[in-house]
Amino acid sequence: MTEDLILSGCRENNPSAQDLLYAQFSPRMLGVCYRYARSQEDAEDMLQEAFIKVFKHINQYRNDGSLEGWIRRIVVHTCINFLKKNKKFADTIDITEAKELTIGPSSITSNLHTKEIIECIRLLPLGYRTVLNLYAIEGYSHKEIGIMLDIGESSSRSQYLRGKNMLEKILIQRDIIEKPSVQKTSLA
Amino acid sequence: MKIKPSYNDNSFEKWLKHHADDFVLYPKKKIWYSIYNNIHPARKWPSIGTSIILLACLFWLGTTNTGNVKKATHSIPSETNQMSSKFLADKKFEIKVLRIQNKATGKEEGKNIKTNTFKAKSFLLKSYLTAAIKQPDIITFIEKTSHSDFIDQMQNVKTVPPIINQDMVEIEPIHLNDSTTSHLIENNLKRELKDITSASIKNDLTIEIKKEAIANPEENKSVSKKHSKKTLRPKQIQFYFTPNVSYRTLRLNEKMMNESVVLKNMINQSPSAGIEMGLMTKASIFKNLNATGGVQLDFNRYALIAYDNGHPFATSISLLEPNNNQFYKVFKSTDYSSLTGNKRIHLHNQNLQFSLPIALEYRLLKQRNFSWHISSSIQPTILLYSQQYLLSSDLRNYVKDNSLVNRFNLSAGIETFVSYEKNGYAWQIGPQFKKQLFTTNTKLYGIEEKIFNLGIKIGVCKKIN
Repeated sequence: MTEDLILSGCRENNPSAQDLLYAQFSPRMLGVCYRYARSQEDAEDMLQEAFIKVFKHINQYRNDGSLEGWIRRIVVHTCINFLKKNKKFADTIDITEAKELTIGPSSITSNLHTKEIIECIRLLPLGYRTVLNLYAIEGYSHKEIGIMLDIGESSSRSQYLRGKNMLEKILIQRDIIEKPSVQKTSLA
Repeated sequence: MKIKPSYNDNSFEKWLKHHADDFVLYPKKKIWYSIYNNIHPARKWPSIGTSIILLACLFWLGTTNTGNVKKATHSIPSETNQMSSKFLADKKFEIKVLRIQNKATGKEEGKNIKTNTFKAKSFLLKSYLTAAIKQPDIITFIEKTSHSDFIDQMQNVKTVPPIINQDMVEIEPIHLNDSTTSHLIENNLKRELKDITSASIKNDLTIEIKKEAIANPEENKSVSKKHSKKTLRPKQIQFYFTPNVSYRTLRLNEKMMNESVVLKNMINQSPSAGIEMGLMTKASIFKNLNATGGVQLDFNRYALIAYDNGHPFATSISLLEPNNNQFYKVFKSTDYSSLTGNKRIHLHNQNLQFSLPIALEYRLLKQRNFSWHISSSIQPTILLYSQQYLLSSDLRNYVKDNSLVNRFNLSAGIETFVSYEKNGYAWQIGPQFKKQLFTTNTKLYGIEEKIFNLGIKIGVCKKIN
């Protein structure tokens, strides 16, 4: 079934079409949720909440962008709202502890390298991690991030830089990337 | 491949995004089920259907549980089968072995056997050993397979699946391999068993013991009483009434209004008193479990705090167009608004229903005349009368309209009560909670309403013959 057929089926509230849409996008979207969430259970809750919104508001999708992009935006916003609601921005972790932490559960199906990188991102404090996810991966601007997280634009920028530095250190510690030789000149 | 991050371009971000986009996780199936249940709340019929089927099965079990489960004999070795049958016959009937007749010879060979009422575990062994002492022929078939085989055979009995004799009830496995029994078998058989030649007696022995059990009415009197057909017959009749208060939960269809509204801020409502009364019969399924069923009348009501404007004005209600799944407005006239107006009044949404509750009731505790029970019920209902004020499209007015009310509905209830028995009557009192499972109005109306009641049930039960 093509994406258009699935989409029109979902608009008619057809369970088979909804199942197909879910099967097509849920693995990648759970990956997105996992980057934001503190645990896999939280990620699953986020995914569930996000897909309920997707199906309830599918009529609002106007075909003016990719369907995956539209779903992804809903997922990301759901993740942010979930974190805000559960006030989980407060937890932090020291960089010295990061090296000791182990890679998470084995249900991850991406290749090992990707899995390690994602787990490294998840080692960051939640505030840093959220900003890093939104800026570096989702491509939101600091202004947009500020609005989404109820923080200032400059705060978003500084959190991103700290998060990025911390992530680099973790990646270097874990021998995933090489130590940068170039002097820092321009920042995000 | 390792990268060397550069801070002059966005290579680190690109590298990170590339890997992050590759990352997938496969969710558990239960997440999809939760999503599905959420987006298709109306598809609750399968679970409700399953509950009804389960209840029906319980009733069926109750009515067909005669204590005489008939089942084809399993394909097991015939000798073991015979032994088990005999054993089992005696186990349940606890017969006296009055006579054992060898059909081949027509001779009553077991007449002088001790007429003990043998208990379950020991009967088979005792009867054989007794027979061995008195009538060596009777145990021919045992010895012909050698002594050790007999022990094995006896021990095998315990692994035999339950064998159902048409006259007998279900059978428990036999445990003969305890040390005492084995020791007894060995010592007694070694001492008592002698030249064995005839093998034909075994079948006759079995048959005769069985026949004896059936043929002797005196012996079977207690048995027939004990194992008489057990049916799910009403044993108590109950009358009850439940003063209660009713309230409702509301859920707004998101398509009905574009802006998000908090429904409870828009309306003001309060619970009101109602009543239900009914007549039920009770039948026992198990010792502490009763099934109940009967008829009931429910009068539910709750109050809407509204304002009378003193003159009719135009408003609308939103109805769903099933073809395109969009809401349209139907214009109506009303005197009542929900937020402001000349005079504050109470409007009552109320209905009278006839229902057929069926319930399972479990006794948690019994001490002297007192007992404590819990019960859950399911109640298909039919509407006899209704007065319904609907919220308008903008949620600001009330419109009287009974045409959208569902005629049939289903409620589920849970209750607990204490019962006091005296002079053949059981007086009962306890709290009850009941909730409507489907919306009051049809799906065409954009606001889902479910009524729930909280009440105190007061009832009296009388035993019936």
